[in-house]
Amino acid sequence: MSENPTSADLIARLTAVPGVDSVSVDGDALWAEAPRLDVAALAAAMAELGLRFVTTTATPLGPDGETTVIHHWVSEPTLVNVRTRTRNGRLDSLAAAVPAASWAEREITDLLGVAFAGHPDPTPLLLPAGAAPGLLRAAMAEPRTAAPAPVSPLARP
Amino acid sequence: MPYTFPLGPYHPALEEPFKVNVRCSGEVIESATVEVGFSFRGIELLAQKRNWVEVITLIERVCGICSNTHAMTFCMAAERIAGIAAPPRAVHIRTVIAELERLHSHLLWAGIGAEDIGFHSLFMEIFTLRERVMDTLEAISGNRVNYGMNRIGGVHRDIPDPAAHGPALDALERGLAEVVVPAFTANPTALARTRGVGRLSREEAVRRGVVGPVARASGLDMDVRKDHPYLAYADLGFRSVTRTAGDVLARVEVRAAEMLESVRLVRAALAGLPPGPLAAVEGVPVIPPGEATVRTEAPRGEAFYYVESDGGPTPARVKIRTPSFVNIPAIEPMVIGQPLADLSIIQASVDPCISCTDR
Repeated sequence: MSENPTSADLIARLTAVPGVDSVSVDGDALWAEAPRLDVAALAAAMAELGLRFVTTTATPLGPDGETTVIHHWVSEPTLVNVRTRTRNGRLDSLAAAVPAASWAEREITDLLGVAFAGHPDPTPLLLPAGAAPGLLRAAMAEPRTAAPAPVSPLARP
Repeated sequence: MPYTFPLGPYHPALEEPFKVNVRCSGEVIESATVEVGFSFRGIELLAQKRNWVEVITLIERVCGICSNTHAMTFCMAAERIAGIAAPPRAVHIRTVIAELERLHSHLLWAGIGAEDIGFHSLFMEIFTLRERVMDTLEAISGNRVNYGMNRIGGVHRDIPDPAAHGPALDALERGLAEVVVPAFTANPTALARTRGVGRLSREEAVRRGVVGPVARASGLDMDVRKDHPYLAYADLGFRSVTRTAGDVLARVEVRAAEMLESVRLVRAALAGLPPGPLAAVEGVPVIPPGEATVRTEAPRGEAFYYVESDGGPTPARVKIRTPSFVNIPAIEPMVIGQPLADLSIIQASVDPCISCTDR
């Protein structure tokens, strides 16, 4: 790995990405809030800075609603987290520019039903071909209580 | 006439169920596609339905090889949200278990790799050595697979007599130096099956975002223990291992050298075991609202956890990115232009963990 950008460089470049509202520092991590993120611009900025893509976290905001999506990148030793959200259940694909994001986005589609526009290979990753996307969405959006019984949707009547 | 050959999902060359569909022309592979999902268990969902103690038991079962990595990384994330610092003795014990786990994982891989190239006597030698590691883990934790060592804020069990493990480490180091490393790096049979086979260029490794020994064998000097030291690695003086060839032999060499470094780290951590308590908190911890991201270096590479709490009795979200999830897709470029007979050892050289990948 070549010279890593400083934290100030990262903050300045992230702030310039269209759709990024704010960037905060939490210990060794940066958190960018970008509800209307320009995904292609983010990919270009990360490539320019030489950051490595780690993964994408998705959390449903409701059984049929939108989804919070966090793209995680690393510039040693700083972890860069960019939080956005879907609009009408869709988000532009990062995998179109970042091949390493391909499996992460396919998995999110399988489990939470998020559609990634422009994904180069939108085939199911974990589910069989033809299965409806969003296998775990309803179960993950339920109110959380510690369950003594099996909680898999497959174990329910 | 090109034809398609499916390796898996159930095949003697595969540790666990996954499928590599290869398109061949004669004996040469033209393209490959990897399919996973045969061991999906929905662990990230189940983690939202268990309290903060029960979920550690669940998370430890993400993988039967790097089980400690998962439980430990989850606990570290919960500790970060709650502002809990594990005591120094617990940190050293976690380091000992993490490196013993790396040793048994790399030895498991080396044994399976030997079997995949038809080197059965080497397989037996390696698994005899691996038993020494498993015995040591059992002596410390009482368990051979899921060790149950981690709790939020520290560890469950002490290592009351660190010197007692010295003879096992001596035997292990001798076996590695005299048998395993020479067999893989100097034996003509092993070299013929690994040198120049299944190359992954540095550029492709960057493009694919691979981690761990796969990345280090392609010239990327990346290791969380060095780049973002955690546990006791900064104090113990960790040395990373890299190679530039990017072939199966380079991946073998990286893991072989790492095993010797792991033995050194275990010795140093045991020798410098600080006095003090095993945990910073007692009972069921209360995790306040917050979120944390934590990375650790699992045997197969960087493990990433995102954990979110809303202050309730269960985690609000647990996201797990295992190293195999990013390493397995790299099998596709590795096998292009290679003989079909080498598909088995090339996919094995990634040390793919399907249980981790599917979760």
